[in-house]
Amino acid sequence: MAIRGGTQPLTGTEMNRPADPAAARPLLSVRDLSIRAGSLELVRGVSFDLQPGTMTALVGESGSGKSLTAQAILGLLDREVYTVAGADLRFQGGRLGFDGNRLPKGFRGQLTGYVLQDPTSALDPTMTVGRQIAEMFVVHRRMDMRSALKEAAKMLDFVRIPNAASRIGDYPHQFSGGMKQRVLIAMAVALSPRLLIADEPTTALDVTVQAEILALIDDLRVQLDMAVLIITHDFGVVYQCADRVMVMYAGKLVEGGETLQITQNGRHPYTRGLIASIPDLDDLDRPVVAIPGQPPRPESSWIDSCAFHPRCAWKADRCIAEAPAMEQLDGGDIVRCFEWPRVVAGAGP
Amino acid sequence: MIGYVGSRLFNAAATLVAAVIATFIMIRIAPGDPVLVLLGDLATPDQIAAARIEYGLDRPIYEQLLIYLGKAFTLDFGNSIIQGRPAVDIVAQRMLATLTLGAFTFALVIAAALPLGLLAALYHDRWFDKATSNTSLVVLGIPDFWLGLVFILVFARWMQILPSSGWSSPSSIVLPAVTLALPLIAVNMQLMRNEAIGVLNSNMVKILRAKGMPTSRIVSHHVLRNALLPVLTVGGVQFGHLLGGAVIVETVFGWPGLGKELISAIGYRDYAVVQACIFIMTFLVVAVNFAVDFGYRLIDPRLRRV
Amino acid sequence: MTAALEIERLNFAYSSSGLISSGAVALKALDNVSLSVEPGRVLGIVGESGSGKSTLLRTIVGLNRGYSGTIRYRGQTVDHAAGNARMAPFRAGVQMIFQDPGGSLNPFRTIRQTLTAALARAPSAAPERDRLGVLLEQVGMNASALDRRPCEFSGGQLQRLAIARALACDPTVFLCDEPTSALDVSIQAQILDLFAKLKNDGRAFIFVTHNLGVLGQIADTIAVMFRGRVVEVGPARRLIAEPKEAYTAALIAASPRLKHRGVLLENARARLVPRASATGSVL
Repeated sequence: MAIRGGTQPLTGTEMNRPADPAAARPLLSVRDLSIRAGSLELVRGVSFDLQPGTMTALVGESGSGKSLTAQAILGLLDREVYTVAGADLRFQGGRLGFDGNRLPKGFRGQLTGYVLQDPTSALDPTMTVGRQIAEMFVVHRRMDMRSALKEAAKMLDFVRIPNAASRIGDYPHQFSGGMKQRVLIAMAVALSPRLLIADEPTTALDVTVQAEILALIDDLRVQLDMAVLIITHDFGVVYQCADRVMVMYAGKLVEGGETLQITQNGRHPYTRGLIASIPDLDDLDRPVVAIPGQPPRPESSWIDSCAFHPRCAWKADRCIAEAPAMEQLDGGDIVRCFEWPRVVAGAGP
Repeated sequence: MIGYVGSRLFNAAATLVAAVIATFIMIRIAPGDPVLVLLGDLATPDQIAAARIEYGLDRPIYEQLLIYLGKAFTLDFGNSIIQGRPAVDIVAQRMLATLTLGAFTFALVIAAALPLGLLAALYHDRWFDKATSNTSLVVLGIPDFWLGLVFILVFARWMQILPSSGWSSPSSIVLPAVTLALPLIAVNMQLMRNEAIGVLNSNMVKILRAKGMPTSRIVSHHVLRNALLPVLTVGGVQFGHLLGGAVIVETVFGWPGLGKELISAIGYRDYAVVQACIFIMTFLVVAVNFAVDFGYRLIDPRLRRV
Repeated sequence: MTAALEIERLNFAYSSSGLISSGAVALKALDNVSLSVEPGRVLGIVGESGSGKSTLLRTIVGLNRGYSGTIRYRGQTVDHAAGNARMAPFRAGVQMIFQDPGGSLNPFRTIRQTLTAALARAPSAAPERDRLGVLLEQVGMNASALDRRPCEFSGGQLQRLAIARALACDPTVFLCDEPTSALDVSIQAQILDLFAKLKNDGRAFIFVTHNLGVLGQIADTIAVMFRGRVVEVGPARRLIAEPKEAYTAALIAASPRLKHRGVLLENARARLVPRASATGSVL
């Protein structure tokens, strides 16, 4: 099994290691990614870098385009439905096409792994979990099924499924939700990929199980020196796990930067609104403040204005007249808002 | 597992008994007197009374039923009042013909419908999918007796490459089987197509693609099995239906099967043969569904009990 | 004050019997559950899957027959087997709100048809036209919604409409089963605001969720359920700040919070099963 690093105990500080964006060459760099379905623009001009070994969160509400962005990177979007356009995607410096057929051999499965929200629907109900993991080794490593099954048992143990060796012959329905998610993770990291994309990996799970899965993913990140892109709607999860965070709204990135900065001193009114709308267990006196209005539907076009302006308390005339561009700030933070200095200054709406 | 088999066997037996009783009742409710049919219009009342006693038709109806039930399960349905031979012999012969036709038809259906449906799903909304969809609609719109007659005309009369009727040579089976199979292929192909499209759009396939599995492997190792489950259920019902529902096609092609025998037996009020026919047909339907049930459990581990 | 709804020693078991299984296996879904909620109060119930929290609501409204124990609605013992006439006040007075916001709205009917049908069950003097408008206003929507069908609304709007439908019966008690779990966070807060308003009107809530943070905002009392039992009940603030039971503490520790960064993972790591390869076991 090609797992680097072994199983050293982890410390809390490792997670918070600062990522210096200038120093390292990004593992993945996405430029100007746009996704359309027919005449609907679902994702518009998304650009970001992922550094090796870091956990980056992509946050947004339903319909914000966060899952589409992830699937476009892996070339998983149905080309009959979606058109990916105007994009430059580089992985380890090499250029990739967004077209699933033109991805380099082994990109999916060997270099990248993918985990999604509902493990029950993601596993083949008619095949043992052992074989589902083993086929990674059979297809990519040309192993025979016998030795591949041995590797599969090691992977089940690696994702901390108890009595792994005796469970490779079990079918998915014999596992609980959290255990199924572990199986899915075992498949995704079987070949020690450089990047794991986890799309809402814990949303369907109980909170105690969620915490265990997040800890497991974080352990694997360190042990395999793997970059993780975690997609979530939960800022609590972001705050607890991610080094960096990007916030999406209506198909565009609106803010990005180091997690602590964004969660505590977010510049974009949407980011602040999201955080203010989360009930805080540590401060029950702080009332949750809802963001008024509804998230925009994809058919509404905000090309000439800020997509958030109908719900924004800091809205100015300019926000309706033109769409703000992404602003690059010192330290690698980004924000897409005309009024952010006023927001940060606490000028109040 | 053994308990499961037991309970299924019990259900199967109960179904058979119910079918036997229902047949008995229905056949006696139906108008017409078998003795009159047998003896003709010129029979004297004495002759009629004698025949009634000979065939046990003079006894009370519940007594007839009890006697009948006891004999049915020893496969003794009495003699055909028309042919004078044991009904079970007649029916056994016919069953062989029907089973052969059914099995051959079903093999054709599987061989054609599954790959065609899978291909249509893979080329969803492309020309292949549209062509097969439209063709199956046309096929479903054609009555099978007419299709059978056209086949006889084309392949037996004009081209003279296949026999038109009877079961005289192995090639005799081709025309009736194809006639029976075509509408079933149309239905099952569409079913397979829709199931496969569902599976292809599932999270499971998304994950398989993300795992870097080649499309051929995704289809052969995963999509096929998952799409097959509902098709199998419908297939079981269709196979049962095929055994009894082949009457018209058997008649058109003069195929010596159960359906044809049943129709003529009903015409003659030949109780023994009618009952033997229905008993055997019910038995076959129950047996096929029994087999399908186990096939289902073979494919879908979720149905296996620990 | 008379409790709006009171449950005493409620027991319920799902039976899974089969011809082959060695006797009927009874899963105790509710184990001696006693709870009550007063008008204008919110009783929060938190628990993980299989804790029995949804079963409790289903049993209260009579979807699970064969329970033992007592359910009292405004002091009167509820008999689910009683006739329609006797049960009518209970059925109108106890309304359920589900996780799937569209689930209680007929997709083929306009909102007007749905609300009118709901109003028909709760006679009142006010002319219908006004009442429809008032209902929508109460849930923060306006009359333009009336002639549309459920598919034209977003999740949050659908949940508002589902609440309007329930409000048409002028209920005393709302039973809410994860009513905000399917909604976006920014919308969740809107719906919580709406519930708070209804609570101030004197309506009682039993609010089931897996999200302790939500209960911290809306609940007066919280009951923690685990495997069919209520393991801890207490005032919401006290229970969150000083949990008495280990399970409650574990739930709180596992909730992702915006303070003490990294603590969530640290706590969880301590619970992870060690790998066999790390303990030297042979695979």
